[in-house]
Amino acid sequence: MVLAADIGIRTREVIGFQRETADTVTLTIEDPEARGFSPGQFCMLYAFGIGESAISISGDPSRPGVTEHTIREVGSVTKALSSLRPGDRVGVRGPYGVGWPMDAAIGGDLVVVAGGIGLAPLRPVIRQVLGARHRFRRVSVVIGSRSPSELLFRNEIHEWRGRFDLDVRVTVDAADASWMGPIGVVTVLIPRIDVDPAKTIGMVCGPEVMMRFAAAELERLGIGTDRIHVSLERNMQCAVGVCGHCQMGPYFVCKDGPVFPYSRVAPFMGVREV
Amino acid sequence: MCSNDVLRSHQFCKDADTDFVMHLVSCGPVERSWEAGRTILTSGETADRLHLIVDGDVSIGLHTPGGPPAVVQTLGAGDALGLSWLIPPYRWAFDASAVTPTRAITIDAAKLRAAMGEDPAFGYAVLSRLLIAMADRLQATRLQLLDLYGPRR
Amino acid sequence: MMVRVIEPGGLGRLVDALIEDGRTVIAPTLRDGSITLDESTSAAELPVGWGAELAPGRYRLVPDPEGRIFAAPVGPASVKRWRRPPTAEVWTGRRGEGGFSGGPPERSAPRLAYVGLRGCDLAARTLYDRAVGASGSDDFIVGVECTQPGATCFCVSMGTGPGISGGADLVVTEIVTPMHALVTRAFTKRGAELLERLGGRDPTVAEEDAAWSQVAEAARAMGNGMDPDQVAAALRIPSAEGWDDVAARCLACGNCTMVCPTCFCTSTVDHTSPDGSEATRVRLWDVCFTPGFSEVHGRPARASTASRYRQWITHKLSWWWDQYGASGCVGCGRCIVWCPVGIDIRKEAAAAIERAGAHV
Repeated sequence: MVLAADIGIRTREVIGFQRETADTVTLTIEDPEARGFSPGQFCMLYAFGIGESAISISGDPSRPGVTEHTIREVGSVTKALSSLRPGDRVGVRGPYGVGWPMDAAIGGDLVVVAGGIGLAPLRPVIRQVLGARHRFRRVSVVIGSRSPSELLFRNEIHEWRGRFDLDVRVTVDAADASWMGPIGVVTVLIPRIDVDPAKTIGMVCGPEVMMRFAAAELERLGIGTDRIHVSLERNMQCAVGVCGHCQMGPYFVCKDGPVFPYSRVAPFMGVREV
Repeated sequence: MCSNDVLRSHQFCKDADTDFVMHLVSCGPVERSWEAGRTILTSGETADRLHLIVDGDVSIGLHTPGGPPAVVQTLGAGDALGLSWLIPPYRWAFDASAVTPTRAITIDAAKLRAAMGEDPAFGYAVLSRLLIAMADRLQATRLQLLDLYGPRR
Repeated sequence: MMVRVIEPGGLGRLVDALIEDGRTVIAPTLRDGSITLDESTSAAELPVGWGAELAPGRYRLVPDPEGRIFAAPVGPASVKRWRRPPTAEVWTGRRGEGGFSGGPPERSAPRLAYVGLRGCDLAARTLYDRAVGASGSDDFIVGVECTQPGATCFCVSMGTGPGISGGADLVVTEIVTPMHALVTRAFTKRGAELLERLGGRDPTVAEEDAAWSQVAEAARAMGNGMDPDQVAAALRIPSAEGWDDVAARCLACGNCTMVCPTCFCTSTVDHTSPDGSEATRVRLWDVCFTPGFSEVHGRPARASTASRYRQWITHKLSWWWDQYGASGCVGCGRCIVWCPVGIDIRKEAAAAIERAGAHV
């Protein structure tokens, strides 16, 4: 019996490689069918003979024909994927998942809060916003990282900071004297941003603990929890909601998410080991 | 001197009644400023004032032997800088420097302690606000310690 | 609707007719000390005259003095074994010029016929297909109404049996009074066509009565199960407390998951040839009781046995409603029988309801 999960892996060529940090790289992969994607979606990338891993798409939604994936080396599959170079082949399934609510953010203020590798699935949001800047009002980007050397997309962050129509704040958990920016956890930057809470959409991505505290800070600003969105991470294998691994409460993170309104998932996130 | 409006609109006085603000005013708050790179407090010296940061980034760090100062945290607008002025023997535990040009409202610690002793209701109000500020900071520091973005152990 | 009475020996003609039609017949067979669904090549393999005694953590074959064909309630296997086999290759590939290529293997899908599915299993088959996104099948289904529930059966409280009123081509009710016979109803056109071929005669009033009343008696005799709505509400946002008792007993062995006809979780593992030139991806049944099941970045989200048991029962009795609009439990009782330590889902559901403050 052929099921949705048996939809084959497509073999695609890697056409670009960029090292972001000591343990993180970005691969640019051809997308000849120009399937496109929505910010927040992910693909299952397959390293021949080793396995698949769910990797967020971190590129530009308006650039058809390629997708960028930012991969952190944490296990055997991501290690194999990180060693691919232009000309190599990689298996791709996707894109999958419910992405960030870009339509809901149009016409209002937007706050993007990214922690660590959480900036990867949020970069497409910023790129899409900048591609149609007039459609949004005030846009704040708050970025936290472990240390300056572990900041992703540094050059791009510099560009964003240079713009007058974007409020970008970056903090690191620890740094040496060469770092001239703030030091501390990303959540303390949130009370400083200037948005109209009734008209603001919040998008948060990072480790689960960080997302809970960041959502709490956004809530303290007066933004309703149904307007705060988080991107959850669980063990994703089939990516279509039939293998059961990625469940968090009643939700399949792969197909009901990975992006959820915080109001929907908060009650379950509060249960230990759910 | 410091205009009452600047004091009143500081985070430390959020939702405070006039009584509270006037008590602070009676301690003679002064607006100060520092250029980027200037030292605000030095660890070991007498903790004789409370700084309420109005604007700018202030780094909290420690001077370690044989190396540059290790910065552990940055405070900013709305934060209360300094707690050791309340705790004997009233000596600063850390260094603090202005990373960017910084403005703050500075209040004499001895006068503040005296006012708190004379009027326990005011003393209670000051302690409550400091406690909330410190609880937030402790939470933030704990999150920092968790090294959330670090490699999984 | 067409109803015929067939003598017990006539079942053999049914099995033969299905095999003649080119189908693989899955029916109860006697193997490994239990009566369980398996491929059957003739009616001679049916477990005539055998029943079973079921209890928490216990299964015993017992002779049936009435010589029934379908005396035993469900065995460990269920339809899911054939819908999505325990292991299946889903992708094969090889390295070649400029990379690698591959695809799903060619599959030959035999045409199946199930003879002897109980009401609970019919319901489970529909639910399983819904969960895995399967649609449409050519399977020929002969259902059997239960007249002798096991002590662990609770289909009545889950609304799945013991009577069957649809979802099958033919439904057999095996009566022993006024005589041993198979009162058989056809629910589909092809069911009626096959029933016609089997011969048989119209039932007498006494026989029709017997069919109805013996099933009704089975429903009455069945013990209390659980209140599906109350437990769904009680577990929707489960507490972290109160699971220590069951966690102390649960071995996290996963038997319950393997025998449950609606549990659908799978894992995919990768194999390569020793020289790395060929790769295969194999889909296996998996259980949420393993620590690795919920692993994210090398650490399980659910590390304790308590949290894993809670996940299994909460998903099945509560979150299935959110996901598929029905309870994941059909009341077959398999998990109770095949749990090595006899954990009883009915008791755990009642305990959860009590803890949540609802009234039973």
